[in-house]
Amino acid sequence: MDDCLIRIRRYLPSGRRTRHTAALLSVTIMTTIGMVVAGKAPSALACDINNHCYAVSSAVGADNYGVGATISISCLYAPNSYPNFLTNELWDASGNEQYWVEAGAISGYGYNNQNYYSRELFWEDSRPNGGSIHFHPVEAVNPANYYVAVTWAGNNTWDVDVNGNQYASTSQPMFSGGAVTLAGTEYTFNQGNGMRDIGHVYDVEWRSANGNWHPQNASMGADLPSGPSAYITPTYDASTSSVSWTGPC
Amino acid sequence: MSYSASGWLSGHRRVLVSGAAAGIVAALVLLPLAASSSAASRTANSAAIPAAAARQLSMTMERWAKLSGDAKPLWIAAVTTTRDKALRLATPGDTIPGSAHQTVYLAVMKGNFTLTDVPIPSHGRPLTGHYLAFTFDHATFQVMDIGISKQAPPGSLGSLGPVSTLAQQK
Repeated sequence: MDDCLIRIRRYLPSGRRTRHTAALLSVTIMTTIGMVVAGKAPSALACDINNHCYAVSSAVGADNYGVGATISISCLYAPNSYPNFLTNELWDASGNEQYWVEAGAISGYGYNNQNYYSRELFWEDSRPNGGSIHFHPVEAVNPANYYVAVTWAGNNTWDVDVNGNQYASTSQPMFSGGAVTLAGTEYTFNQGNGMRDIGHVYDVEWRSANGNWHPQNASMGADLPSGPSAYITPTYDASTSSVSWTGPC
Repeated sequence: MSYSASGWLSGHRRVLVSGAAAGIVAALVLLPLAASSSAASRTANSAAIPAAAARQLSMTMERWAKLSGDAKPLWIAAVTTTRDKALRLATPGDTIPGSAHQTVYLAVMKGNFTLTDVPIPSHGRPLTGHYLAFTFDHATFQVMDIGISKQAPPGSLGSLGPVSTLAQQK
Protein backbone atom coordinates (compact mmCIF):
# COMPACT_ATOMS: atom_id res chain seq x y z
CA MET A 1 0.00 0.00 0.00
CA ASP A 2 2.90 2.36 0.58
CA ASP A 3 3.49 2.33 -3.14
CA CYS A 4 -0.11 3.28 -3.61
CA LEU A 5 -0.49 4.63 -7.12
CA ILE A 6 -2.63 7.67 -6.71
CA ARG A 7 -4.29 9.43 -9.56
CA ILE A 8 -4.80 13.06 -8.81
CA ARG A 9 -8.14 14.35 -9.92
CA ARG A 10 -8.11 18.07 -9.80
CA TYR A 11 -9.73 20.44 -12.15
CA LEU A 12 -8.65 18.40 -15.13
CA PRO A 13 -9.81 14.94 -14.19
CA SER A 14 -8.82 12.06 -16.39
CA GLY A 15 -10.52 9.04 -17.95
CA ARG A 16 -13.92 8.14 -16.62
CA ARG A 17 -14.38 11.39 -14.80
CA THR A 18 -13.47 13.51 -17.80
CA ARG A 19 -16.02 11.70 -19.89
CA HIS A 20 -18.57 11.89 -17.13
CA THR A 21 -17.99 15.60 -16.61
CA ALA A 22 -18.02 16.34 -20.31
CA ALA A 23 -21.27 14.47 -20.79
CA LEU A 24 -22.81 16.22 -17.83
CA LEU A 25 -21.76 19.63 -19.12
CA SER A 26 -23.09 18.86 -22.57
CA VAL A 27 -26.46 17.81 -21.22
CA THR A 28 -26.54 20.83 -18.95
CA ILE A 29 -25.74 23.29 -21.74
CA MET A 30 -28.18 21.74 -24.18
CA THR A 31 -30.94 21.60 -21.61
CA THR A 32 -30.32 25.19 -20.60
CA ILE A 33 -30.46 26.35 -24.22
CA GLY A 34 -33.64 24.41 -24.76
CA MET A 35 -35.32 25.89 -21.73
CA VAL A 36 -34.26 29.41 -22.51
CA VAL A 37 -35.60 29.03 -26.03
CA ALA A 38 -38.81 27.60 -24.67
CA GLY A 39 -39.07 30.39 -22.13
CA LYS A 40 -39.32 28.02 -19.20
CA ALA A 41 -37.60 28.24 -15.86
CA PRO A 42 -34.79 25.69 -15.66
CA SER A 43 -36.42 23.84 -12.79
CA ALA A 44 -34.73 20.58 -13.76
CA LEU A 45 -31.32 22.14 -13.33
CA ALA A 46 -31.35 22.39 -9.61
CA CYS A 47 -29.74 20.72 -6.71
CA ASP A 48 -32.56 18.65 -5.29
CA ILE A 49 -33.32 15.33 -3.72
CA ASN A 50 -32.97 13.54 -7.04
CA ASN A 51 -29.90 15.50 -8.09
CA HIS A 52 -27.50 15.79 -5.21
CA CYS A 53 -24.79 18.42 -5.42
CA TYR A 54 -21.26 18.17 -4.07
CA ALA A 55 -18.21 20.18 -3.15
CA VAL A 56 -15.61 17.54 -2.43
CA SER A 57 -11.97 16.70 -2.82
CA SER A 58 -10.97 13.20 -3.74
CA ALA A 59 -8.11 10.78 -3.98
CA VAL A 60 -8.31 7.88 -6.37
CA GLY A 61 -5.86 5.09 -5.78
CA ALA A 62 -5.22 1.52 -4.90
CA ASP A 63 -6.80 -0.21 -1.97
CA ASN A 64 -6.51 1.43 1.42
CA TYR A 65 -7.01 0.05 4.89
CA GLY A 66 -8.82 3.04 6.23
CA VAL A 67 -9.35 6.77 5.96
CA GLY A 68 -9.58 9.38 8.65
CA ALA A 69 -9.98 13.14 8.98
CA THR A 70 -11.15 15.85 11.31
CA ILE A 71 -14.48 17.25 10.20
CA SER A 72 -14.87 20.82 11.39
CA ILE A 73 -18.54 21.71 11.64
CA SER A 74 -18.78 25.48 11.67
CA CYS A 75 -21.86 26.45 9.68
CA LEU A 76 -24.09 23.49 8.91
CA TYR A 77 -27.81 24.20 8.66
CA ALA A 78 -30.62 22.82 6.53
CA PRO A 79 -33.99 24.57 6.41
CA ASN A 80 -36.86 22.39 7.56
CA SER A 81 -37.81 21.28 4.08
CA TYR A 82 -38.47 17.58 3.71
CA PRO A 83 -36.76 15.59 2.30
CA ASN A 84 -33.74 17.79 1.73
CA PHE A 85 -30.49 17.58 3.64
CA LEU A 86 -26.84 18.50 3.56
CA THR A 87 -23.78 16.80 5.00
CA ASN A 88 -20.19 17.46 5.99
CA GLU A 89 -18.51 14.09 5.68
CA LEU A 90 -15.86 11.58 4.67
CA TRP A 91 -16.28 8.60 2.33
CA ASP A 92 -14.16 5.56 1.63
CA ALA A 93 -15.52 3.99 -1.53
CA SER A 94 -14.87 1.42 -4.21
CA GLY A 95 -13.38 2.67 -7.46
CA ASN A 96 -16.78 3.00 -9.11
CA GLU A 97 -18.26 4.59 -5.96
CA GLN A 98 -21.06 2.06 -5.84
CA TYR A 99 -19.96 0.60 -2.51
CA TRP A 100 -18.76 2.65 0.39
CA VAL A 101 -18.58 3.42 4.07
CA GLU A 102 -19.16 7.04 5.04
CA ALA A 103 -19.40 9.04 8.24
CA GLY A 104 -19.97 12.65 9.15
CA ALA A 105 -22.68 15.10 10.14
CA ILE A 106 -26.06 15.66 8.51
CA SER A 107 -28.57 18.48 8.77
CA GLY A 108 -32.08 18.08 7.42
CA TYR A 109 -33.93 14.83 7.00
CA GLY A 110 -31.72 12.06 5.62
CA TYR A 111 -34.60 9.74 4.99
CA ASN A 112 -36.57 10.57 8.02
CA ASN A 113 -39.68 12.65 7.58
CA GLN A 114 -40.58 12.37 11.22
CA ASN A 115 -37.44 13.77 12.69
CA TYR A 116 -35.68 16.83 11.39
CA TYR A 117 -32.02 16.75 12.31
CA SER A 118 -30.50 20.05 13.28
CA ARG A 119 -27.04 18.52 13.23
CA GLU A 120 -26.63 14.78 13.65
CA LEU A 121 -23.64 12.49 13.39
CA PHE A 122 -24.36 9.58 11.10
CA TRP A 123 -22.71 6.75 9.27
CA GLU A 124 -23.79 4.73 6.29
CA ASP A 125 -22.61 1.91 4.12
CA SER A 126 -23.45 0.44 0.77
CA ARG A 127 -22.20 -2.99 -0.08
CA PRO A 128 -22.31 -5.57 -2.87
CA ASN A 129 -24.07 -8.93 -2.75
CA GLY A 130 -27.65 -7.82 -2.74
CA GLY A 131 -27.20 -4.13 -3.33
CA SER A 132 -28.00 -3.00 0.16
CA ILE A 133 -27.55 0.42 1.73
CA HIS A 134 -27.75 1.15 5.43
CA PHE A 135 -28.16 4.57 7.02
CA HIS A 136 -27.63 5.10 10.75
CA PRO A 137 -28.17 8.43 12.48
CA VAL A 138 -26.21 8.44 15.73
CA GLU A 139 -26.51 11.53 17.90
CA ALA A 140 -27.10 15.26 17.82
CA VAL A 141 -23.99 17.41 17.88
CA ASN A 142 -22.98 21.04 18.15
CA PRO A 143 -20.54 22.84 15.88
CA ALA A 144 -17.08 21.52 16.77
CA ASN A 145 -14.30 19.34 15.41
CA TYR A 146 -14.92 15.61 15.13
CA TYR A 147 -12.27 13.08 14.18
CA VAL A 148 -13.90 10.46 11.99
CA ALA A 149 -12.21 7.26 10.88
CA VAL A 150 -13.25 4.28 8.82
CA THR A 151 -10.71 1.52 9.30
CA TRP A 152 -10.25 -2.00 8.02
CA ALA A 153 -10.60 -4.47 10.88
CA GLY A 154 -10.01 -7.64 8.89
CA ASN A 155 -12.45 -10.43 8.11
CA ASN A 156 -14.43 -8.22 5.71
CA THR A 157 -15.19 -5.77 8.47
CA TRP A 158 -14.73 -2.02 8.73
CA ASP A 159 -14.97 -0.06 11.96
CA VAL A 160 -16.50 3.40 12.19
CA ASP A 161 -15.01 5.60 14.90
CA VAL A 162 -15.76 9.14 16.01
CA ASN A 163 -13.39 10.90 18.37
CA GLY A 164 -11.83 7.56 19.21
CA ASN A 165 -15.09 5.88 20.14
CA GLN A 166 -16.21 2.95 18.08
CA TYR A 167 -19.67 3.71 16.76
CA ALA A 168 -20.15 0.56 14.75
CA SER A 169 -18.71 -2.21 12.65
CA THR A 170 -19.91 -3.08 9.20
CA SER A 171 -19.38 -5.99 6.87
CA GLN A 172 -17.80 -4.81 3.66
CA PRO A 173 -15.15 -6.48 1.51
CA MET A 174 -11.90 -4.69 0.88
CA PHE A 175 -12.32 -2.24 -1.98
CA SER A 176 -10.09 -4.34 -4.18
CA GLY A 177 -9.10 -2.95 -7.52
CA GLY A 178 -9.04 0.62 -6.40
CA ALA A 179 -10.58 2.89 -3.83
CA VAL A 180 -11.77 6.47 -3.74
CA THR A 181 -11.54 8.74 -0.73
CA LEU A 182 -13.85 11.72 -0.74
CA ALA A 183 -14.24 14.53 1.77
CA GLY A 184 -16.49 17.55 1.67
CA THR A 185 -20.14 18.48 1.55
CA GLU A 186 -23.21 16.98 -0.15
CA TYR A 187 -26.39 19.04 -0.46
CA THR A 188 -29.82 18.90 -2.04
CA PHE A 189 -30.86 22.55 -1.70
CA ASN A 190 -30.89 24.81 -4.69
CA GLN A 191 -29.25 28.19 -4.33
CA GLY A 192 -31.26 30.73 -2.37
CA ASN A 193 -33.25 28.16 -0.42
CA GLY A 194 -31.79 29.02 2.95
CA MET A 195 -29.15 26.36 3.34
CA ARG A 196 -26.03 27.37 5.28
CA ASP A 197 -22.86 25.45 4.61
CA ILE A 198 -19.29 26.42 5.38
CA GLY A 199 -16.92 23.72 6.51
CA HIS A 200 -13.54 22.09 6.52
CA VAL A 201 -12.16 18.59 6.63
CA TYR A 202 -8.66 18.72 8.06
CA ASP A 203 -5.78 16.27 7.92
CA VAL A 204 -7.30 13.74 5.56
CA GLU A 205 -5.22 10.59 5.86
CA TRP A 206 -5.20 7.01 4.67
CA ARG A 207 -4.08 3.85 6.37
CA SER A 208 -1.71 1.35 4.82
CA ALA A 209 -1.63 -2.43 5.29
CA ASN A 210 0.85 -2.16 8.15
CA GLY A 211 -1.57 0.04 10.08
CA ASN A 212 0.35 3.28 9.60
CA TRP A 213 -1.50 6.45 8.69
CA HIS A 214 -0.33 8.76 5.89
CA PRO A 215 -1.48 12.27 4.98
CA GLN A 216 -3.12 12.50 1.59
CA ASN A 217 -1.01 15.54 0.65
CA ALA A 218 -0.75 15.88 -3.12
CA SER A 219 -2.48 12.57 -3.79
CA MET A 220 -5.78 14.34 -3.19
CA GLY A 221 -7.27 17.22 -5.12
CA ALA A 222 -10.37 19.35 -5.33
CA ASP A 223 -13.05 18.06 -7.69
CA LEU A 224 -15.14 20.29 -9.87
CA PRO A 225 -18.39 21.32 -8.20
CA SER A 226 -20.70 18.42 -8.95
CA GLY A 227 -24.43 18.35 -9.60
CA PRO A 228 -26.85 20.46 -11.62
CA SER A 229 -26.39 24.14 -10.78
CA ALA A 230 -23.90 23.26 -8.04
CA TYR A 231 -22.91 26.52 -6.42
CA ILE A 232 -20.24 25.64 -3.85
CA THR A 233 -16.64 25.24 -4.95
CA PRO A 234 -14.23 23.13 -2.92
CA THR A 235 -10.59 24.00 -2.36
CA TYR A 236 -7.80 21.71 -1.26
CA ASP A 237 -4.56 22.51 0.55
CA ALA A 238 -2.09 19.72 -0.16
CA SER A 239 0.32 20.91 2.51
CA THR A 240 -2.22 20.20 5.24
CA SER A 241 -4.35 17.64 3.40
CA SER A 242 -7.34 19.82 4.11
CA VAL A 243 -10.56 20.42 2.20
CA SER A 244 -12.55 23.63 2.53
CA TRP A 245 -15.74 25.00 1.05
CA THR A 246 -17.59 28.23 1.52
CA GLY A 247 -21.28 28.18 0.75
CA PRO A 248 -23.92 30.58 2.04
CA CYS A 249 -23.85 31.22 5.75
CA MET B 1 -34.70 -20.11 1.22
CA SER B 2 -37.97 -18.57 0.22
CA TYR B 3 -38.60 -14.97 1.18
CA SER B 4 -42.23 -14.63 0.29
CA ALA B 5 -44.61 -12.82 2.61
CA SER B 6 -45.97 -16.12 3.75
CA GLY B 7 -42.47 -17.28 4.49
CA TRP B 8 -41.87 -14.25 6.63
CA LEU B 9 -45.06 -14.51 8.49
CA SER B 10 -45.53 -18.23 8.75
CA GLY B 11 -45.64 -19.72 12.18
CA HIS B 12 -46.63 -16.51 13.89
CA ARG B 13 -49.94 -15.15 14.96
CA ARG B 14 -51.26 -12.05 13.37
CA VAL B 15 -51.73 -9.22 15.82
CA LEU B 16 -53.09 -6.33 13.85
CA VAL B 17 -54.24 -5.66 10.36
CA SER B 18 -54.91 -2.07 9.55
CA GLY B 19 -57.77 -1.34 7.24
CA ALA B 20 -60.72 -3.51 6.40
CA ALA B 21 -59.62 -4.43 2.88
CA ALA B 22 -56.12 -5.14 3.97
CA GLY B 23 -57.50 -7.14 6.82
CA ILE B 24 -59.62 -9.35 4.60
CA VAL B 25 -56.76 -10.02 2.22
CA ALA B 26 -54.32 -10.61 5.01
CA ALA B 27 -56.74 -12.90 6.80
CA LEU B 28 -57.20 -15.04 3.72
CA VAL B 29 -53.47 -15.28 3.21
CA LEU B 30 -52.22 -15.48 6.73
CA LEU B 31 -54.76 -17.31 8.84
CA PRO B 32 -53.82 -20.71 7.49
CA LEU B 33 -50.23 -19.89 8.29
CA ALA B 34 -51.10 -18.87 11.81
CA ALA B 35 -52.47 -22.32 12.40
CA SER B 36 -48.95 -23.67 12.11
CA SER B 37 -47.65 -21.28 14.71
CA SER B 38 -44.62 -22.44 16.59
CA ALA B 39 -44.19 -20.72 19.91
CA ALA B 40 -40.80 -22.31 20.33
CA SER B 41 -39.40 -20.18 17.55
CA ARG B 42 -40.26 -16.94 19.28
CA THR B 43 -38.04 -14.91 21.47
CA ALA B 44 -39.16 -15.52 25.02
CA ASN B 45 -39.29 -11.89 26.16
CA SER B 46 -40.77 -10.39 23.00
CA ALA B 47 -44.18 -8.80 23.23
CA ALA B 48 -46.75 -7.99 20.63
CA ILE B 49 -46.75 -4.41 19.40
CA PRO B 50 -49.45 -2.39 21.18
CA ALA B 51 -52.32 -1.36 18.93
CA ALA B 52 -51.58 2.35 19.19
CA ALA B 53 -47.95 1.82 18.29
CA ALA B 54 -48.93 -0.43 15.42
CA ARG B 55 -51.21 2.28 14.05
CA GLN B 56 -48.40 4.83 14.18
CA LEU B 57 -45.96 2.43 12.57
CA SER B 58 -48.49 1.63 9.90
CA MET B 59 -49.04 5.27 9.01
CA THR B 60 -45.32 5.96 8.98
CA MET B 61 -44.44 2.97 6.85
CA GLU B 62 -47.21 3.64 4.35
CA ARG B 63 -46.03 7.21 3.99
CA TRP B 64 -42.47 6.07 3.44
CA ALA B 65 -43.58 3.47 0.95
CA LYS B 66 -45.16 6.23 -1.10
CA LEU B 67 -42.12 8.48 -0.77
CA SER B 68 -39.89 5.62 -1.85
CA GLY B 69 -41.76 5.01 -5.06
CA ASP B 70 -44.20 2.26 -4.19
CA ALA B 71 -47.39 3.48 -2.57
CA LYS B 72 -48.76 -0.04 -2.39
CA PRO B 73 -46.14 -2.37 -1.01
CA LEU B 74 -46.90 -6.07 -1.09
CA TRP B 75 -46.80 -6.26 2.67
CA ILE B 76 -45.64 -4.41 5.76
CA ALA B 77 -44.87 -6.19 8.99
CA ALA B 78 -43.31 -5.29 12.30
CA VAL B 79 -42.03 -6.87 15.47
CA THR B 80 -40.72 -5.77 18.85
CA THR B 81 -37.14 -6.84 19.49
CA THR B 82 -33.73 -5.64 20.53
CA ARG B 83 -31.77 -3.42 18.21
CA ASP B 84 -28.92 -5.87 17.73
CA LYS B 85 -31.35 -8.56 16.60
CA ALA B 86 -33.13 -6.09 14.37
CA LEU B 87 -29.85 -5.07 12.74
CA ARG B 88 -29.22 -8.67 11.73
CA LEU B 89 -32.30 -8.49 9.55
CA ALA B 90 -32.57 -4.81 8.65
CA THR B 91 -28.91 -4.03 8.03
CA PRO B 92 -27.18 -7.42 8.13
CA GLY B 93 -23.50 -7.15 8.79
CA ASP B 94 -23.76 -3.95 10.82
CA THR B 95 -23.11 -4.14 14.54
CA ILE B 96 -23.46 -1.30 17.01
CA PRO B 97 -22.06 -1.41 20.55
CA GLY B 98 -24.77 -1.38 23.21
CA SER B 99 -27.52 -2.30 20.81
CA ALA B 100 -28.34 -5.52 22.67
CA HIS B 101 -29.94 -3.43 25.42
CA GLN B 102 -32.05 -1.20 23.20
CA THR B 103 -35.67 -2.13 22.54
CA VAL B 104 -36.90 -1.27 19.07
CA TYR B 105 -39.68 -1.85 16.65
CA LEU B 106 -38.38 -3.47 13.48
CA ALA B 107 -40.64 -2.76 10.50
CA VAL B 108 -40.08 -4.25 7.06
CA MET B 109 -41.99 -3.86 3.82
CA LYS B 110 -41.73 -5.48 0.43
CA GLY B 111 -42.21 -3.56 -2.80
CA ASN B 112 -40.22 -1.75 -5.44
CA PHE B 113 -38.38 1.07 -3.72
CA THR B 114 -35.81 3.69 -4.64
CA LEU B 115 -33.86 5.65 -2.07
CA THR B 116 -32.88 9.12 -3.17
CA ASP B 117 -32.89 10.91 0.14
CA VAL B 118 -29.82 9.46 1.75
CA PRO B 119 -26.23 10.63 1.26
CA ILE B 120 -24.27 8.91 -1.49
CA PRO B 121 -20.85 9.56 -3.04
CA SER B 122 -20.67 12.07 -5.86
CA HIS B 123 -20.54 9.35 -8.51
CA GLY B 124 -22.73 6.88 -6.68
CA ARG B 125 -26.26 6.19 -7.74
CA PRO B 126 -29.47 5.89 -5.72
CA LEU B 127 -30.15 2.32 -4.81
CA THR B 128 -33.25 0.38 -5.54
CA GLY B 129 -34.47 -2.59 -3.61
CA HIS B 130 -37.42 -4.77 -2.76
CA TYR B 131 -37.07 -4.79 1.01
CA LEU B 132 -37.08 -1.60 3.01
CA ALA B 133 -36.47 -1.98 6.74
CA PHE B 134 -36.48 0.47 9.63
CA THR B 135 -35.76 0.27 13.31
CA PHE B 136 -37.62 2.68 15.57
CA ASP B 137 -36.95 3.59 19.17
CA HIS B 138 -39.91 1.94 20.88
CA ALA B 139 -40.58 4.97 23.08
CA THR B 140 -39.97 7.93 20.77
CA PHE B 141 -40.43 6.34 17.33
CA GLN B 142 -37.19 7.98 16.29
CA VAL B 143 -35.69 6.14 13.35
CA MET B 144 -32.46 4.46 14.38
CA ASP B 145 -31.49 2.45 11.30
CA ILE B 146 -32.58 2.15 7.70
CA GLY B 147 -31.78 -0.61 5.25
CA ILE B 148 -32.77 -1.27 1.67
CA SER B 149 -31.88 -4.42 -0.19
CA LYS B 150 -32.75 -6.38 -3.28
CA GLN B 151 -32.56 -9.51 -1.19
CA ALA B 152 -34.86 -10.48 1.64
CA PRO B 153 -33.45 -10.13 5.13
CA PRO B 154 -31.44 -13.18 6.13
CA GLY B 155 -33.93 -14.53 8.60
CA SER B 156 -37.53 -14.67 9.61
CA LEU B 157 -39.17 -11.66 11.20
CA GLY B 158 -41.25 -14.12 13.15
CA SER B 159 -38.16 -15.58 14.80
CA LEU B 160 -37.93 -12.36 16.81
CA GLY B 161 -41.42 -12.38 18.27
CA PRO B 162 -45.10 -11.95 17.45
CA VAL B 163 -45.41 -10.31 14.06
CA SER B 164 -47.83 -7.45 13.46
CA THR B 165 -49.06 -7.20 9.91
CA LEU B 166 -49.38 -3.46 9.38
CA ALA B 167 -50.74 -3.46 5.85
CA GLN B 168 -51.10 -5.67 2.85
CA GLN B 169 -52.50 -3.76 -0.04
CA LYS B 170 -51.70 -5.53 -3.29
